Amino acid sequence: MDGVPWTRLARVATSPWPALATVAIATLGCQASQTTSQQPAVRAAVETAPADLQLMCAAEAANVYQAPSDKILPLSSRRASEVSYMVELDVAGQRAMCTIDESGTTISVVDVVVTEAS
Amino acid sequence: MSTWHRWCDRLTGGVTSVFRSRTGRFALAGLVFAAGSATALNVNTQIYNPETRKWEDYSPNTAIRYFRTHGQTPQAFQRRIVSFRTAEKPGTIVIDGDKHFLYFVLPNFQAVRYGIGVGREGFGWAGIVNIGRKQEWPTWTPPAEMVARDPKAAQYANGMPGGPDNPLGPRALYLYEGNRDSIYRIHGTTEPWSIGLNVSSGCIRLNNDDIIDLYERVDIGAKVIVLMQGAALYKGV
Repeated sequence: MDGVPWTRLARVATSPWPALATVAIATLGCQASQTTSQQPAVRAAVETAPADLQLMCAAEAANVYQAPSDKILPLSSRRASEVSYMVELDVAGQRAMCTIDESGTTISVVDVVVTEAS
Repeated sequence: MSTWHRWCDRLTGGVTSVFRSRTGRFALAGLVFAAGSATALNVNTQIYNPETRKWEDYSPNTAIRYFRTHGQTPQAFQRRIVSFRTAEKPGTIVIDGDKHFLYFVLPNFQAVRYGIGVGREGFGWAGIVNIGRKQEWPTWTPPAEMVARDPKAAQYANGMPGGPDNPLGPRALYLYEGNRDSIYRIHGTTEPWSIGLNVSSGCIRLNNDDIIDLYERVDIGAKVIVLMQGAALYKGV
């Protein structure tokens, strides 16, 4: 209510609507200034899984394959569904595919065999 | 081909997907990546244009204009504490080259997140390495091929002393594979507008305030995990 004379406030105190309108206008003004001062968002051109989810997949693969974690590297990832990602892993030279949801729960870890085109 | 890198030789054609379940505990996946997943292009950054209401490429020209207008890179690339769910121990560095972030793992599932610049097309790499050594105001020695093609670099063939014009900036962290120098560094920059871009020759660059902050936090021997889709080279795995 900045800028509203105190005497005016005293006269309208018996009716809530002008006060509510004043608060609403002030709030909208705050929101408008926040919007105009917001910096534009940035993103990766290709959606990959968050880094921590990729590492969770690597940790799960270490359990599944009984391999040292420093020999497991996420190679690539992409969104599999609205709530999950697929992460391709190098597990000590072999390939594996991990599916993980956004909460960090591993759905599956399976082998992938890659062959060259003939 | 540059001695600094080689193309990934893992995938050259089609992928035959065979699903074999380990110990019967896991379901078979119904989909695999296309053959080009490991040879995909580097992931670039996009920036939202509120005037056109479209996502646009965050090109070097766009980045320079943005930096000149705002005096800094976009807010997303500013240093901040974030949640980071990982079993990696505190002090570990995780680099997400695709999203242009470097995470320094803290206790309690948090991390300091920094914006970074990464290698341009053909110079991106991924792997698991460690901090072999650190240096304040490091000397920069241009590679032989740069000396051969660039007269500005040639004058520093024997090394450019540390200072405000040095491309490595005020601090450098040297990345090692075991006990061997990987040739890659995490360092500052004389081009702060390049944070968020794929422009380097493979090194990871931070703005100078951030590299000084990270330098103070990180220990020699710290594990560094570099994640980058479409990497041209792998280290440490």
